[in-house]
Amino acid sequence: MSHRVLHPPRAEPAPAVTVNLHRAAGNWAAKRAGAQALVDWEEWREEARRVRADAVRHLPELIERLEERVRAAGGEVHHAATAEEATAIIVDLCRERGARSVAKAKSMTAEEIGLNEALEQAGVEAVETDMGEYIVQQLGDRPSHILAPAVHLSAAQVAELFSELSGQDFDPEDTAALVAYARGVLRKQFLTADVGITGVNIAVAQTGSLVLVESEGNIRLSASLPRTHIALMGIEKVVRDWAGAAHLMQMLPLASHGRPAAASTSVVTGPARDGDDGPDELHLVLLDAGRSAVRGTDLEEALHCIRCGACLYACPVYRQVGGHAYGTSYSGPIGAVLTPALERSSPETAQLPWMSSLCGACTEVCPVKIPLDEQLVTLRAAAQARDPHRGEAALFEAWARLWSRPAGYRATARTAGKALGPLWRKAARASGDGWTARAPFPFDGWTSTRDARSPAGEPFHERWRKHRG
Amino acid sequence: MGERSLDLVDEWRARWEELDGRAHRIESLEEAQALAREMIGTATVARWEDARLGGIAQAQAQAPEAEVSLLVADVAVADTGQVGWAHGAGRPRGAGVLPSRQVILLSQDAVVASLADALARLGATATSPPSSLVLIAGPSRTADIEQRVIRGVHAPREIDVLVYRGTG
Amino acid sequence: MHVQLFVTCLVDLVYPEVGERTVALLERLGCEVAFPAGQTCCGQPAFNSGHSEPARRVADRFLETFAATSDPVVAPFGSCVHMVRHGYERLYADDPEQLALAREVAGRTHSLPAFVVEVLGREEVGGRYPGEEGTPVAYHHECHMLRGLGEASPPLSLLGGVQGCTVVETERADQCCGFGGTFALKLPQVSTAMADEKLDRAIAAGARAIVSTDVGCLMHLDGRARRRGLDLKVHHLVDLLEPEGSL
Repeated sequence: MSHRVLHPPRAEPAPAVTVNLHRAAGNWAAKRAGAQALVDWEEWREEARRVRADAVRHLPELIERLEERVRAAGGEVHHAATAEEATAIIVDLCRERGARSVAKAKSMTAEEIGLNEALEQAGVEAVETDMGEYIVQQLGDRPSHILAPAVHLSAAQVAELFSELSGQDFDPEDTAALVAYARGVLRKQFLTADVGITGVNIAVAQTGSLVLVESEGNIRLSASLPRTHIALMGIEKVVRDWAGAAHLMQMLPLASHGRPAAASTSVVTGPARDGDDGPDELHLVLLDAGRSAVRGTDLEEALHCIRCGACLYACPVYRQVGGHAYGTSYSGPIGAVLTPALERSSPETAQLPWMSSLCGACTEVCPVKIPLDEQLVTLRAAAQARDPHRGEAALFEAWARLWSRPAGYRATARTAGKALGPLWRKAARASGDGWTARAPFPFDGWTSTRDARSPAGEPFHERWRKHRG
Repeated sequence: MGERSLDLVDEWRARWEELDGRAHRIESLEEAQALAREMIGTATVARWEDARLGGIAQAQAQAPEAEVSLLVADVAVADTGQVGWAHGAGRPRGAGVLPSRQVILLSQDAVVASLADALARLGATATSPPSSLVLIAGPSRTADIEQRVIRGVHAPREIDVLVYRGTG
Repeated sequence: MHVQLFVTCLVDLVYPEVGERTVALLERLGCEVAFPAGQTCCGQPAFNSGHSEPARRVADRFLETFAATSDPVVAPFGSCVHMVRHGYERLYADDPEQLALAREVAGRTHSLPAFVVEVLGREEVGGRYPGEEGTPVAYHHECHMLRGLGEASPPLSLLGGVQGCTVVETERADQCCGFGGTFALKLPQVSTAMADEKLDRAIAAGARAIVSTDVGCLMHLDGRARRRGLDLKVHHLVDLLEPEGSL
């Protein structure tokens, strides 16, 4: 199991979390409606898809160009084939510079490779500077949403945590005071950290520029104040040129927050030059970790993801179970697709594509038009082929043998009642209207929580034959 | 130029104010400087070195301690409501982000229509872009605690943009 | 107009009265309805569970049945139509001949509401609520009809023409009810929690009945409502459009 898979999925409703997720999803849905009214949404989605598809299709060429431009601007570029290589590179960079503390800005990629644990083991203190990530880190918890890491927590939990940490007494209703406390703690970190570590939202191959997008300002500070800036990015984040980047710089906040622009966008091209008082060094760490292998497969479009988090807000299953239930660093629909895609074969990730009713809400909201619901079915087929569940395969084999011929199908209809057990029909008859509280195997899972309608005594096709000849 | 740029300024302003920024339309650079002086008063200021910013701050301080930051913006974007600038000599990064209040002088002529235009104007698309560009859209914010929006996290909580006429 | 009824396996075996009312409605609207006796199933349950090969064999039968004539094919709900239009694209991706056939048939396969409103051009067809006069009714959008086929307004338009009930707006009427085919059996607790949300929202809006088109959704919501003892009836849209319909 890699760092991105933490435990097998636990698909159970989590009512305490659902309350918070409903609120978040409701806010997001309202804002999104406003955002869609601002632009020709469907046209913009198609353009965003095109930009991302171009990038992934030409990935090796664009990464080469990106590297060349970053170096020309005075930055250094490191290639990491695996998560382990990436953490080793970053730990070494910190060690070589005698870094004792790191200001860490929110990065899902860093989460994916388990960077915090690696830094901790190496004796480097890495403090999360994103508000939600800071809270989650202090709790010893894990983020549960791509953009809103603490979305599963209540204000009461945060107030309790801050009260413990500070010795003060925080009121859960005084959100401003909670934020002010964290702000004070984290400012010290920015001002004293030796190294700043960020992710990258978009890397522009044309000029070797890294685009960092945020609401709080901690990314800008982490990339500005410490003397060394380490930027970690999955290779798929590159785009060809500024035309495409500008489009995505608008799509991302529109899709994630319903805003035409993020509160703060930083564009970093190499270390500080020409009187800029920013970092002396810029290190770009390019992470592959399974991405190249997904190119050219029927899951390639999952690499188009711009990490907006919209599919999580839209998913009714995610809202019921919460991000932690997926057991992976990327949760929700994109997590259920990307993690198995990057992981290749693993019994843990095989469960993920089943955490969906295939309702299509994710596909509908994706700003780059990833066909997530289709990809979930593709993954289910791959899982069946690789690790067939014999009982189920046999069942569908028998089903196909019977139902590919009308005679077989009709025979099923006739014997369904008998085959499914006398208890069902008896109970159904007893209730008078064909509903029963106890269905036999393999439908007993249904009646654990729902009544079941029994098959009709006379199917439609028999009625037709009787009345219409 | 006059009318078109007026429309762009209005468009930019509408977006900027929706994002909780504050904006003021001023006739001239001199009047903008006067207004800035009034707004800031005796608060401590971390300011960029720019001729346009002279004579405004009464008390100065380093960025981490200053109460107000005072900058000039290089561009504003009508489509998105953003305000942007490049860092460089005399334009320290900390002054652009640490103080919780921010006052920005912006020439009306620097307002462009699209983000693509703005990026070009900032030099992003040149062969050798500046090492650091910033585009902001209103105050910093977080909704990480039960979705309650709080303004002013690590970057400024209050931002006033003074848009002046003339090419000063 | 000649049409072919694709009754779907679920309606055929569990909700035959929906099939009967569908026929009666189409005939009232002037169609001649044929029921190709060789039909079985569209293959969706196997396909969605990742069993493409068995799905294909059953899909072959579907195509053979409905390619026999070039008449439009009408199904009582959207889910199977979605399978034919989109699922078959993937199922037959490596078989150009079958793919061409699938596209031909898919091009004339419709869900009942879309067929009535868009092909027959009828925005309302009357109808009467088969229960207490004035019952408040909540509409649930079937995922595959709404998002899969992009058909939001036809069912609502037809519902609008029904007498004897009032339609109430519910929060998030477009959200999945949790049936999801085998999902209901594989993740029963999550599936049921989603049903509860849908039912609770309907009740909160004052509804005493829920109307939809996918009989999978109906079985799921009705089964849960009954288990919870809720005062909430669950109907197929055609139960309201053609309440007396029979063969």
